[in-house]
Amino acid sequence: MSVARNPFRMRASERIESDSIFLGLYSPYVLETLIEKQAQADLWDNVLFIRSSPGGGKTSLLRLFSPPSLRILQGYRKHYKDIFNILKKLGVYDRNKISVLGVMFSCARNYQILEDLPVNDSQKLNLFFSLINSRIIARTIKAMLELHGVQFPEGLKQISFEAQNNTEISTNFPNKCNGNELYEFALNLEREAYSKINSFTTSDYRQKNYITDLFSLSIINPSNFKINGEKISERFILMFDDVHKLTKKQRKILISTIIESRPSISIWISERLEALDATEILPQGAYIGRDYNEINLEDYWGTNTKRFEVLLSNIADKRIRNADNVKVESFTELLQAILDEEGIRGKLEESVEELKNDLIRISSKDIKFKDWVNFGISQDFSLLEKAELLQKLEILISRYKNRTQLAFEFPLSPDEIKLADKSEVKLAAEFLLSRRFKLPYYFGMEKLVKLSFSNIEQFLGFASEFFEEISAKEIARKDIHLNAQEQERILKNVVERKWREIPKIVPFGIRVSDFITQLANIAKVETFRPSAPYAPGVTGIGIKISDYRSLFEEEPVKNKPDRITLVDVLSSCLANNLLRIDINKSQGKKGGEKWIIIYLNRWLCLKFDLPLSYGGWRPKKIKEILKWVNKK
Amino acid sequence: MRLALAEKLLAKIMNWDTEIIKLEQPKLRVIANLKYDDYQQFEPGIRFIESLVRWLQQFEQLEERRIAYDHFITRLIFFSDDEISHLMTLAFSEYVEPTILDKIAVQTRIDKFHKHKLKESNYYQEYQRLSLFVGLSDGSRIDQFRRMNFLNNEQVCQTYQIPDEKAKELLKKLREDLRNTNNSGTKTPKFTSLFLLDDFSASGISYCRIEEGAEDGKLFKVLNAIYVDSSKSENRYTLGTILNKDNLDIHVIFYIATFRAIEKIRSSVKSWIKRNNKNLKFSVNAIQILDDTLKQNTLQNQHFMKIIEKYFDTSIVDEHFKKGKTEKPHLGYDECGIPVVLNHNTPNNSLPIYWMGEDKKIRGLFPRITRHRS
Repeated sequence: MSVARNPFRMRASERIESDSIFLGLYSPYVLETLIEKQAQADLWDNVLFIRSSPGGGKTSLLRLFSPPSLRILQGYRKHYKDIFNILKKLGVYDRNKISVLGVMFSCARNYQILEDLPVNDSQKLNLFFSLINSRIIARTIKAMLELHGVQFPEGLKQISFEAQNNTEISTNFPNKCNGNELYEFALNLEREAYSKINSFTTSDYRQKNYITDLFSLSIINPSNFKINGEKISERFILMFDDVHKLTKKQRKILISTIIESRPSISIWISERLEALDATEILPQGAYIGRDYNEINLEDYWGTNTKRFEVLLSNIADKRIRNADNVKVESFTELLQAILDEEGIRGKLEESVEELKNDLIRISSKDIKFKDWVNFGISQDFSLLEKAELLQKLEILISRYKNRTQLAFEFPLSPDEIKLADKSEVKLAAEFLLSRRFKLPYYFGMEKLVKLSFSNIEQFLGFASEFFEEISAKEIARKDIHLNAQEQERILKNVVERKWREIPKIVPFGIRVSDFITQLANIAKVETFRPSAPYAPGVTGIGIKISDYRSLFEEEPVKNKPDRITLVDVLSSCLANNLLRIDINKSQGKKGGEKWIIIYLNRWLCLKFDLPLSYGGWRPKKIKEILKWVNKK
Repeated sequence: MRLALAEKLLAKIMNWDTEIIKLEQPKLRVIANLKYDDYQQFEPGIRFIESLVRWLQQFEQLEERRIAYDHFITRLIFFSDDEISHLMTLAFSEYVEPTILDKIAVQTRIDKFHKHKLKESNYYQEYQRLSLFVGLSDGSRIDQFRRMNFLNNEQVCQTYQIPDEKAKELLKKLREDLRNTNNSGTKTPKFTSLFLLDDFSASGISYCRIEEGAEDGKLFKVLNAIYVDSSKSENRYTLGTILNKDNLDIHVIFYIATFRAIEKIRSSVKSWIKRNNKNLKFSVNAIQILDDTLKQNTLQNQHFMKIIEKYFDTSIVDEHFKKGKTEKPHLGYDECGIPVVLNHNTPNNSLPIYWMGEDKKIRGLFPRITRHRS
């Protein structure tokens, strides 16, 4: 396998040309999403949407099912055994045969230009379907040859086609023919469409073969095709990639036609979330839950964080083994996961001293906390442990003081520390200590996984910068491990760059920046309160479902442009993976009103010095939020 | 030397910290992969990064290494094989075709801006056939030029020293090909346009110079072969006998040349025409012109100037080098002072610090194979 200067910079599957390099870098853990769908009997002979923001891993997933990948995996099953075994579980391999024909169909081939032609809508539709049908047929025939290792075009005649249900597509459609004739039919269809597109008059549109549906779906079926008298494969998957690159109108009609046609083969539709319009992308309360099969890759990983960590470690290890000047097996091992006290001794001593003085001052004014403070100061802990304990005490004292009903004026027993001490207080203490005394907080693989926010490309973005440092250290003959400070410095630089890009590359970028800044500021105020009431911190806001739904009430929206702006900003944030929405969170008592929770992408938490945990959110009303995006 | 080792050595001799390595290493890898590794005069086993390490190592002080590296990374211009080929492909459409079309416009009185009409006229094929293409050196890539522009093999010569037999053949084929056309107005046509192609010139000296009172240089040799020598040998076929000297236009096209070289050649040929009283249309052009700012940028860099002077090896100033100005020989042949490297060899007009050979005070980053060997 070839080596790369920075293997983490090799991003989109489309740009990794060699199938073997692609397979070498591919992590099979993504396939667990399909295993789950298979267990629910939702995977095969169905329409499945695969959605994510850019870099979620959609195209890579589809590419794995393309004939060249499947053939390499079959031939080198020992080398790629982890991927091969999962595909076998999915039924892609049956004994020595590949039982799935994956036909990858890119929607990125300039279909948008059809919308600019000076013809009416039905003529545009005719051209659109003509091109799609012809290309589906041609692509499928080529994929059949690839799957069976037969040369194109020489092997076309080895394919035979016979439509089981007599399909009346057009007068010249060959219901029984060889692959060559069917391929020619597809080419002619495309040629005809192009001659119409290139024509200077619209009279050419009034011709035969007026196609207004996806007839190709009815003929692309395992029972209709044979190669040298043998079945091509047990299953066909038609994989539409980059559907978001179609125009909104084309996407809508393509999807509705596919769903209505109830095809007997598997159809996978991969698209970015940005393709969805505001009403599709934003969950609308009662309408939550789709009436078709969907894998939202970020949602899946968001609810399977441990698996996501394994996936990312696997991806990172595979990539770092391909580096040309750094010879290590594990990426994770290069990232320091525990603070090295010696490296930050000065800061720790300073923090212990300052916290001690604070606590002594408090106890001198309030006798109740005297024993707590003495307990904290007297513990024989390491500097870091001691600093965390003292910070924890500050939080607990602050919480105690906030109680409306205070205890009598005598010292509280140190045993009560244990009662009040909960794991989230420890997390809050760790976080507040790090921010107050400028100690590293964002470091280690676990935090890197959280920062990746369920998006593989986001992870690779951070990891590639880590790798640059590792590589530079290798060249400078230094220890290539990245300590906590180095990791945090690198991550901070990356997020600053990403933040500066938002106004330039994200739709409604300036308003999006304003919105996020407001949200982060609220989160900061709540997080840095001395009592850490929402420990370890706040990273999102909640909106009551009833209030949230008002955004989508048609009539009022028309009269309220500020609401349209908010919907645009929210959908832009979601499409670009800047926010995540959790739904149906009940607050308080059982039966209480449900909420929509909007969380910041974790890299934005890093940007605004917030913790990376979930759960901390503050309620807000749409009325207040509208002001964030409609600043004069 | 392994690449990884070379990179480590580079970081060491440049005393780079990780922040600088992160900036410089990706840059060096990219330029090495895109262009510099393809330099044809590297020894076997040596590629760009290794050569860079060896080059920088020779400077005594770290500061000198930094100054030299900075000049190299910001000022050096490397023409890759692809880039020179690309410039060559432009020569026909940029200069040859417009020249032919202009001639047809004069002949037919079709507006010279009606390019399509001119090209579609009966004259185009004939006027193109009446053009002779001659390479002035190996670098002219005349064979590629011919294939690229679908030229007849019998109107292209690798060199300006055309043997009798070849010249006879060229004329014979020309007359056969134009037997059925009548536009040129003669039944015994000769070539009416001469296109002289070369890849590079910085001083122009090797094309036109007066040495001890006598004309020398490739272009003067060509002009004399056409107008002077051919008249002395009436029964022979020479370059002069196959060209229509009464109605001839000569065009020199460089793929890369300095403004200074173009000016020098233009004025030298103008003087030659005057001296010899000939009726000749002449032009000289370059696809990529290098202007004087290249030299000025180097001259203004006082620190770098000190280094190139300090490490200059006077032994390169031989009789050939002395044909140009030699007051500041550290600026290269004829003091051209251009930081330019061509993928097949570094020109001697480039700064010697970049091209001096193994046996000199300092081994250049892109060592040059000299044309004249003692």
